[in-house]
Amino acid sequence: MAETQVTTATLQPVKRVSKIWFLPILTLCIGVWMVYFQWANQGPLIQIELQSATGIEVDKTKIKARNLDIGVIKSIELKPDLSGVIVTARMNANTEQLLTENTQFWLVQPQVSLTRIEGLNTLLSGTYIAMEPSEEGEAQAEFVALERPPVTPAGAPGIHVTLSSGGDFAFKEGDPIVYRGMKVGDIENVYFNLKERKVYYNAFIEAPYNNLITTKTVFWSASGIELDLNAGGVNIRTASLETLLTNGVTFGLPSNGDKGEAITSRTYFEIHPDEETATKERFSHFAEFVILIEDTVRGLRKGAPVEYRGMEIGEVGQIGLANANNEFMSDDYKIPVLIRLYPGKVGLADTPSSVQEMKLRVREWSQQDFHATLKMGSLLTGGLYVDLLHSEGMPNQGLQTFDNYDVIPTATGEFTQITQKISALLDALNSINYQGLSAGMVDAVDSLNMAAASITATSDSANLVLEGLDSQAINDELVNTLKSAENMLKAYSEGSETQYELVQTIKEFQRTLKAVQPIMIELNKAPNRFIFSGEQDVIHQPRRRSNHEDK
Amino acid sequence: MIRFASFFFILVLGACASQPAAIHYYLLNSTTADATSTWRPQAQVVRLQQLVLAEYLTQSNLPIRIGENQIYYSPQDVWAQPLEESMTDALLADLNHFAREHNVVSAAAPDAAVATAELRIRVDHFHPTDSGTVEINGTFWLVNNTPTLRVERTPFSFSVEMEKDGYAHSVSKQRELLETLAKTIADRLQAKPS
Repeated sequence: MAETQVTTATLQPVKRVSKIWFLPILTLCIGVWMVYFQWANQGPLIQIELQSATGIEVDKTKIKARNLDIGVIKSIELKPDLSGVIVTARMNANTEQLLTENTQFWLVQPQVSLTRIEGLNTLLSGTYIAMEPSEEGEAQAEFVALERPPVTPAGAPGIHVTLSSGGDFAFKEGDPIVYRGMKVGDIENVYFNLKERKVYYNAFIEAPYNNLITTKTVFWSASGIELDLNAGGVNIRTASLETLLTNGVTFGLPSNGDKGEAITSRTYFEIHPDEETATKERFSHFAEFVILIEDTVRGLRKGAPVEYRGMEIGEVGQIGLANANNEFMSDDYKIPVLIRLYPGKVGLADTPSSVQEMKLRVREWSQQDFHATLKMGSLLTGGLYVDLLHSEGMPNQGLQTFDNYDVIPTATGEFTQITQKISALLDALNSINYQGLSAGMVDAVDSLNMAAASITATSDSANLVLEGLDSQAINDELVNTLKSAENMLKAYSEGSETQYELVQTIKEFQRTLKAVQPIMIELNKAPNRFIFSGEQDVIHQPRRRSNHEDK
Repeated sequence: MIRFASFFFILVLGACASQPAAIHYYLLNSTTADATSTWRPQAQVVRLQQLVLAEYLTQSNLPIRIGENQIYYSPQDVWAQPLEESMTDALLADLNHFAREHNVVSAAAPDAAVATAELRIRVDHFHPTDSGTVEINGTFWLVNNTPTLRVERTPFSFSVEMEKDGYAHSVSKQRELLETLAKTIADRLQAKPS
């Protein structure tokens, strides 16, 4: 058996750190630095309320401003009342000044509508939250996202106006505001005032078209196709292709010189149903008159134009005024029609004094030859309008009033005159005995038919005969005959030998007859004288007067 | 043959038995008028249209009026020339003799083409009567085309008494009546403005 030696280890204390610790320490330092760096450079944390979290993913969904990533969604949670979601987002550093009360957020998703197509890029990149930063206002960290993107970018040059409407039409956010067919703005948002029963629209007119908005600017609806059937005929209008599909508003300035003053701040305007109504609203002062219609007012509408020598100067205000002496059931009842004449439309100032001036002038004319008549503006619609004109031969009816309104003398409408004449003509036509007339015409036609048949038969026979004739031979024969006749006539014409001999022969014959005449007279007296001489007749001879007396 | 012989025999008998009637021929225009009428230059030319005679006057036998309205034609007294021709010749001669400032030509004459006036004559009666007179009556017209159309109508009626018996004397008296008519017409022509 061998002996083993036991060796004991000598423990020596460590005098320095092992080199192996360098790497972990280094890693730790880097880690700490990274955490610090991350903590020092992270932006603020904000919360955004959304209707839903469609397409939003934690740590993936970005927040973009001007298409630049400035934040990321960190968490999503439901609201306590379950009416929406609250997303928490970490914004980039140095974005605190952009997070104010005027900053807007909205979810960008693919949107296709009649007015816009946007967000299609999110089909590939995914949904994100867009931010419209604003440095004005107080800083905040909780926001409510907009349901749809803002119509007008923040800070866009232009002017904001507020439009109101009490009509039956409605506009929505994004509907265009057009001018001369060009889109110059949008309706940003809509607010309905329950008390006033009016809808208010905040609209934005972009530059440089905001310079067109003055105190005299009027707005009217330019939606779809506008079809107007009135006394002037049929009018079809559309503002632009966009308004053809959606609603739209347009505006204009008066054409009679007064452009108004430019506005620089939000101003209120009313949206009129159409341009005509908008234009009329420019004039606020008018003179009212009454015309008394004897025949019918069918086809005449309230608002129908009143023209003077072709110029529209007013409108029909009311048809059928009621007054204290309601004589509707009397035989000679005349329908009162109230008309309004605008001094502003004839170049006068839109003031009460112009109204008085117009009234005085109309009164003066009414006592001369000025009168009103209903005329048909359109055969298609049958619409009537009131025509004011001067006409010689109008009887002077004096100045009349109806319910404190001055009455303008009225003549029978041209359509009524035409119908009266047509009625008289139809009565005359009615009185014609068509039965007898038609019987006579039938007989005449029969006779004509028979005559025509006879003529046809005759012409057929003549045709047959003519076909059997040799035209050329006949012509030659006729020419020869005519030549022979001409030669013969020459032979007997004056101065020819034949004519001389003929005349001499006739004269000789006459002489012979004269010579034989006594014998013929004798034979006539007594035929037997030819053989027997009888007693001599008494022969009368002229004698001188003395011989007669002797006898 | 027998019939022919009989007819011939009858003719011979008739020729022997009857005496031929004596026929007297008279000429109206045998009296001497100024037949050699000289053409007057620068004078107005008057065209004498064809004479119009009453129908009963166109017979070659000389007529005589017996009583109020009976006409007797003499079987042995005939005109040697148609009465119309004789009257026209006689009137032309007399008119050119009496109308010194006019040239009267017949319608058939070539110089009638330059006539500026026209003379028409209608004779209704031109015969002797059993009361010892010879008469002529009718109408003549003077038609002037220059300077304007003017028509002058003049009826005429002349009568002369016979101084002898017989048709010869009545013919000479008829010639005198024509001379009287021509003088009357010439006086009208002289009085009418050209």
